[in-house]
Amino acid sequence: MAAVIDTVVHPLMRRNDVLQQYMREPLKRLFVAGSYRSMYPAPTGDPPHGEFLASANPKDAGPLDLPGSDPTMTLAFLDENGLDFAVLVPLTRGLNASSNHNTAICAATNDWLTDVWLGERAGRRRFYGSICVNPRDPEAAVAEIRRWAKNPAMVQVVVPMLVHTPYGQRVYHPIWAEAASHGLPVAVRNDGGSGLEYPPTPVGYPRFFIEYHTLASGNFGTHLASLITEGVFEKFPNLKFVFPDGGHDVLSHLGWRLDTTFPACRGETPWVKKMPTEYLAGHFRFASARHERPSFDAQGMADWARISDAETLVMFGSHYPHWTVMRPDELFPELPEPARDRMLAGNALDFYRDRIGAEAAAASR
Amino acid sequence: MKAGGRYVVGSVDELPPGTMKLVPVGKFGVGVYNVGGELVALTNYCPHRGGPLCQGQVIGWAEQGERPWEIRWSRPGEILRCPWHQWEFEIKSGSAIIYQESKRPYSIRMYPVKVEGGEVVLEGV
Repeated sequence: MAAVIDTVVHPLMRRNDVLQQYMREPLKRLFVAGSYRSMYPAPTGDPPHGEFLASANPKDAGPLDLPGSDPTMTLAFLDENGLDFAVLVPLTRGLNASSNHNTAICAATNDWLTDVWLGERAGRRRFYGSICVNPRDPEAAVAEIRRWAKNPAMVQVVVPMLVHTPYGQRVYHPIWAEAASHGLPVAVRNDGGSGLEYPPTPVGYPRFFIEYHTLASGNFGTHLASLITEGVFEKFPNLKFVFPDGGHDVLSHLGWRLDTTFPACRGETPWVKKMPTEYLAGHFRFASARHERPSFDAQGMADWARISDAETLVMFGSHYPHWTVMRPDELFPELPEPARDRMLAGNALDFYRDRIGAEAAAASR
Repeated sequence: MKAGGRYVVGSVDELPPGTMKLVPVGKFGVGVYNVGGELVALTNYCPHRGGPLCQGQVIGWAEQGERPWEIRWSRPGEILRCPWHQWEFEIKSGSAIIYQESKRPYSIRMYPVKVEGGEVVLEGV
């Protein structure tokens, strides 16, 4: 099998105030919500606050040190699990109300990621990065993509899931054009906590963490439907999107609805040139997630994988050091090796092929 | 009426361009359309879910314009829309347009139709 790729690892800063060290005056003086400011606290009991694995706390961690902030521990996780390299997807607290501040937070996060995480490890590149951009300011987002496009360690652009306008709409097209021109896929990440986002479900705020956890990643559907029906992939044929929080398990019925409605409504969106689900394989991928799988027997799982095209659309993502961490052997263990190999390696190598060349992929073994 | 027979739809003068006539042929009836002078006969049965296709509107084709989000109306009178699920069919070919390129094309059953001595005649009925 080719190199095994972990498409979702969360890098955290050693302390929240590290971010300000990468910002300039006067914006560096502004308050930024910390990494623990998640919308619904996870009730796992893992110290210190439940959201991340206790085992990911740095050794001799002080009270302000964050789990998942030590690259050598993340490397150890990769090594223990036979993962050749990982794509890092940092959090920026989603949309921040002050848009210039938001842009500066994204830029500082990119500088920090490059500085602390993206160097070679023992002569090999083990970590690839994501370029954080502010989708509320497309011009600034384009500039930020240009600033990093030539850096071979940056392999995708990342934007928050919870924004105020679905991602297919015209206001975003300059960002997508820039990303596509550099062969950079776009990750839409369930990032938030700054307070500017809408409720995590379209009908408002649920009361419990389990509701949030179950429903939040499903917001991808709004963006997916928007991107397809607005004709974005006819305009940018090599543009690709990935949903690092998963959601593949609820994709199928959304696709069925799009396909059965489209013949009746085609004249409304004549820039859509084929059936909506025919855009999936060429333009969308979903990271795997531990809490999304039916409880069928082996034959049922094989049927489900075929119906939902998991072999094409899913890429392995561990989510380390998040408490929902998933290991490679938990990924569709019922499926035959060739199908699992595609989800563990082939799909991601193909998805990032414009950024991670074959030589680099081989060298990272 | 026997298979392979003929059916006289009526005088050609009764079916000018842009009109159609539904005749009681076969199990579902047959719609005879004059599309810009060309006669086409389609079974009144939608290949999607069996809707009464020939009760549908004869419309044009919405297509992408030059400017962003511009919709242009083309081919007026050449498209038939099923009244049940609004699928759009090209009258002259009898096929569901958006499925023409797909691995599962949908086609309406058609009959040969011609003009003989001023009369419109269906064949193969």
